[in-house]
Amino acid sequence: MRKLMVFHLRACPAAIATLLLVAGCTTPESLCPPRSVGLWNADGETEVYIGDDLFIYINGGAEIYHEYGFEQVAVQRYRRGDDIVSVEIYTMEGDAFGIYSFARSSSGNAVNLGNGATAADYYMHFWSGRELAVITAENEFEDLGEAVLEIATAVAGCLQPGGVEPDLHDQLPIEGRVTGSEVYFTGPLAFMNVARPAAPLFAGFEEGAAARYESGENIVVLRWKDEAAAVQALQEARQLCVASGGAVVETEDGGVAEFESGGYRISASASENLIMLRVQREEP
Amino acid sequence: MSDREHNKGITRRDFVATGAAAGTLLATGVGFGEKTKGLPPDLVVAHGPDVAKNTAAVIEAHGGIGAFVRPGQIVNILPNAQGSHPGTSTDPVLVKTVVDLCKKAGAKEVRWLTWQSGKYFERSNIAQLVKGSGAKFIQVDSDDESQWNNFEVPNGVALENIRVFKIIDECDVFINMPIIKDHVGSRFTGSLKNYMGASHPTDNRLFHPTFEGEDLLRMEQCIADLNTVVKKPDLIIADAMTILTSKGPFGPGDIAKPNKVIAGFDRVALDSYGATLLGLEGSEVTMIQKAHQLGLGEIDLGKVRIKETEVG
Repeated sequence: MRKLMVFHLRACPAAIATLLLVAGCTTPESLCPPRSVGLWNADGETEVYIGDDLFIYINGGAEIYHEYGFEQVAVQRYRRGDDIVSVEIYTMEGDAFGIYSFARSSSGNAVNLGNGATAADYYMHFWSGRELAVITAENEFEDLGEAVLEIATAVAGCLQPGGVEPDLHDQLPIEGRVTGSEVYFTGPLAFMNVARPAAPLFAGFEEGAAARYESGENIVVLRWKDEAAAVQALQEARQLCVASGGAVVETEDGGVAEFESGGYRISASASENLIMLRVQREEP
Repeated sequence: MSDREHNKGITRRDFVATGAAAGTLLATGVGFGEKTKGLPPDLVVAHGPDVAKNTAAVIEAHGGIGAFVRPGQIVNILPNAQGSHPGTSTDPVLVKTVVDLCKKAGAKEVRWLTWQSGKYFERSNIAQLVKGSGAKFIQVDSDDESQWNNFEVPNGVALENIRVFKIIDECDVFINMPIIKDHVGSRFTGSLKNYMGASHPTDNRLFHPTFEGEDLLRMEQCIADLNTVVKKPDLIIADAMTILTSKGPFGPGDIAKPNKVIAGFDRVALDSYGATLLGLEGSEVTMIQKAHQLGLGEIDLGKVRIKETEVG
């Protein structure tokens, strides 16, 4: 059985994390996550899980992190008496906006931290460069909101800066869009979560962006490598929908196809290498 | 649904008929039709703020722990210990309550089964509590093939073979102890999916689509297939006290507090009820639907005798 790797993670580049297992870094002032924050002290060593060892840490649900390009996660618990707050710092292959957009609370409040932060009642997500930080109060206590923010702020100070948000969600309509509901994705598992009835119909996209709307519908924009690939994907979706017992209604100009599948109505329109989907549950 | 035979020829009907399942429950909502009047419930749902009392109540309503555990018997339990984020693991107090009741009934041994590392469990604080209750922690080595049965899955739609740890069958009583919550892949996790805690972790990873174009709902079918070959539960006790309703199974995410403990024998029926706590119908959860299609249980809650109780 694989041994859990436990060591102090220093503020060294993630790429040399493996070397830390042997040599370690020895600069106390550069600890990340820090050993203490105010009255909160680190409870045990920082645990680090690299690559497939994420399955040791997350038994069920790790696949979504891998889909977003997971490299490693550093986990540190903090204790103040009986109260516990955990910090998870996920390092991804590329900018962490995608996994941040997926993992954050869709009903939380924006916080000015890192490149973007969302706070919910007992937890917070923020991202910076290739890193996503998740701060969670593990039990209930009076000032948990302040504690989560205090520790998040300390962690933000030791993450690598940088990173750019993808521009695909600029293609999503602004009117009626629920703020904070935008999700960027590159794989089918995330797609299935933001628009489950549409996901089995459309494959082969390079990236996608989705958001919820006040009207109750989800709107998704998928980008293919070129226009021909998008046209082909739409055609394959028609065939798949019919083959699975759904119905396809073509509009007169042929530019929009409406799919009825599993109690949902999916309206699809193609433009260049993009396909926009409007997904809404049908009234019973 | 037929009564389920328990150990030594004792049935739930026997216990209910002899008055052993009376207790002090306040039955508030019962899904009994005229035709099923007098029959024991398929599901018991206890609602109240105290998880230990709720747990004791659902067991009592099913005939008491003595209906399941006899002196000298070995009991295997399978809790879900996902981690320390709120609403992700079976409540440690629920686990301890069950272990204590089993011991009180004279169980020779209560064994908590897992292939996960001890460190993993310690994060959820369950290990320390169960250790204190006298349960024996059995960590199956996933690298030791001698500890695994490789089952053929004759009725499987997606699975042909699956490895399940042998020890799950080596007991007199098996109690499945999931938590009800959201799941990123299957929308819902409960008793059916909790069996992935008994199947080999390497095999579990293959449940997910491994190449583009493969059925995205493969995992749900695999879980239903797995359930056709694993040991049937003698009892399912599901935690629905504090549950994750989004960003599951690991969280953190939105939390709901139904303050319920659910117990029954039918995995499909229990999950179909559990799904309603997440605003879903059983038929909307592919995994539950597939399990029903494989004959593993009843998905239509209209056909399930549900006894809802308020526990003070």
